[in-house]
Amino acid sequence: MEITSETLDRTLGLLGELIVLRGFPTQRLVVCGGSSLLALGLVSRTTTQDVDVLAKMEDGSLVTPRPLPEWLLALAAEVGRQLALPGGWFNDRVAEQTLFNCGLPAGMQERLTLRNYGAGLLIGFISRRDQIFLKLHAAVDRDGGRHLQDLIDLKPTAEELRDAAEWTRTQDPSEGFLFNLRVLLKEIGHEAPGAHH
Amino acid sequence: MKLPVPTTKSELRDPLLRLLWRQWSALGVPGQLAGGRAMIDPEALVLVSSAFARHDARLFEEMFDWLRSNGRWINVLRLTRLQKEHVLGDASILAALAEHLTEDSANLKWKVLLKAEPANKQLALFPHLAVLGGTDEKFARWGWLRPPVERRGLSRSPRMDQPSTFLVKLRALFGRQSRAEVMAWLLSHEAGHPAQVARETGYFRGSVQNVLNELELSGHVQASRRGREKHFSAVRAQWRFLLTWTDEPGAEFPRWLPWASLFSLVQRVNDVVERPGFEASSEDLQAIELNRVMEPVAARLREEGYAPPVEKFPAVGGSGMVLLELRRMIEELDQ
Repeated sequence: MEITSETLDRTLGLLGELIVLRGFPTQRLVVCGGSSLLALGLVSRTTTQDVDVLAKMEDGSLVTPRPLPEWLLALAAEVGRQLALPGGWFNDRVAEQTLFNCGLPAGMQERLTLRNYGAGLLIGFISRRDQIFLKLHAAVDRDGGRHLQDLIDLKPTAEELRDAAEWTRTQDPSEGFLFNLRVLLKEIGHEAPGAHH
Repeated sequence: MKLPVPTTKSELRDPLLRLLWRQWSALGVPGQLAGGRAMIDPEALVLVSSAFARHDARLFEEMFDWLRSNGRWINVLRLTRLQKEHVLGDASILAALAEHLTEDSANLKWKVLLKAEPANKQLALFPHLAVLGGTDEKFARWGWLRPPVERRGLSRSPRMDQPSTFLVKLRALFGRQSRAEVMAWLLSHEAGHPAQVARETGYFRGSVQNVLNELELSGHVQASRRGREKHFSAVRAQWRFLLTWTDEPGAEFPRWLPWASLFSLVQRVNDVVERPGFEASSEDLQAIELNRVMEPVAARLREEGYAPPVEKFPAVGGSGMVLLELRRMIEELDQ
């Protein structure tokens, strides 16, 4: 079963309940990707395969969630079995260390939409602006696909795309990335930063 | 049509108590309920009763009375092995019973149950009855408040002419040792290898292997090789004289049921549904918690070939459906 906007609350709510029942500490996590888009109703897509954990909220800042605690993954697996979700539905694959070395988009934390799933789980869903940043990076990095479609669905303005493009260059300043970025932006009718230089 | 689902704990407990009454009555406790077609496992019965009989004070007292006069039929070493292996029964109630039983020198073997952890709080043994007047000191030491024990002496010895007491009959013939269970198992199955017989009867493989080899020498039990395994079977026609309750030529030997596993399943589920706040949690959470405790027992039952009742349990759904299926299972058992 894929995750829909209706089942997302049930899924995360169950995980939160289990965390409390088994006596584990409350988790404060930042989620991006398809589940975040569904939670905030930002795009037309209706399902996602997984919940992408991007970061952990700790002492007023966002830090890498890796490695997610074994017990948390075990509880997620129990939830997955109960709700027939795809294996590995709860993961930190997106939380690459580069993001933390080079920096997440400035102000991301302040723009989070916070939701409590019981006393055991607090989720911060990233904003539309931050989704644009991450989706642009992922679309260039991973050759379009679903990320590009999500990016188009987010209907970014030229200014948002320019800011996002500048941020992606902090993640990967290579010439190859810039080339691909320009190609992608042209494809969707925008110009890349430095295109006139 | 949606089936009515049990909503209270007593809806699981009540059919279990009826089953326990039937089994204890068959063993000799005063009562009018007859035992079923399956043979009773006396140790599994004592264990599960230690956890549940206190919800029916009369059943508890009758069981206690029976143990005082008929305790010799219980194999206490096997009882402790089943208790440990299946996490079955209530150790503190067993210890309190043992403390009383060991007053009689004939029951000294029960001392092994006094190794349980001492109680750190006290509860009413019979939750539905107020404790008025004095309390029993021995039970109180183990954390249970109840009126002083009175010996009624109404229990009788087990009647041997019924299917449900078949194992007790074999104990009368072979003694209170693995030979009785091994024969009972062989007579109710086509054939089996020593590891399988040992696992299902609650004995060590080595001792079961020795017993099977000796039984084979009698000529009334046969062995055949299947690959590397030696499979044993009883020559049933030669054992039909044991079916003293019937003259029917086609009568079957009583069924062997894995009572310890089945009772353990009921106890584990009951422990979960009795947790404070469980009823208020979501259906999904209830199902996860129930599956968590049921899965290992269900796997064992499947391995032992008792899948049908277990397969009925839903992998998803709230406690209501699980309790409903368990209630059905209990009601269908031993019919």
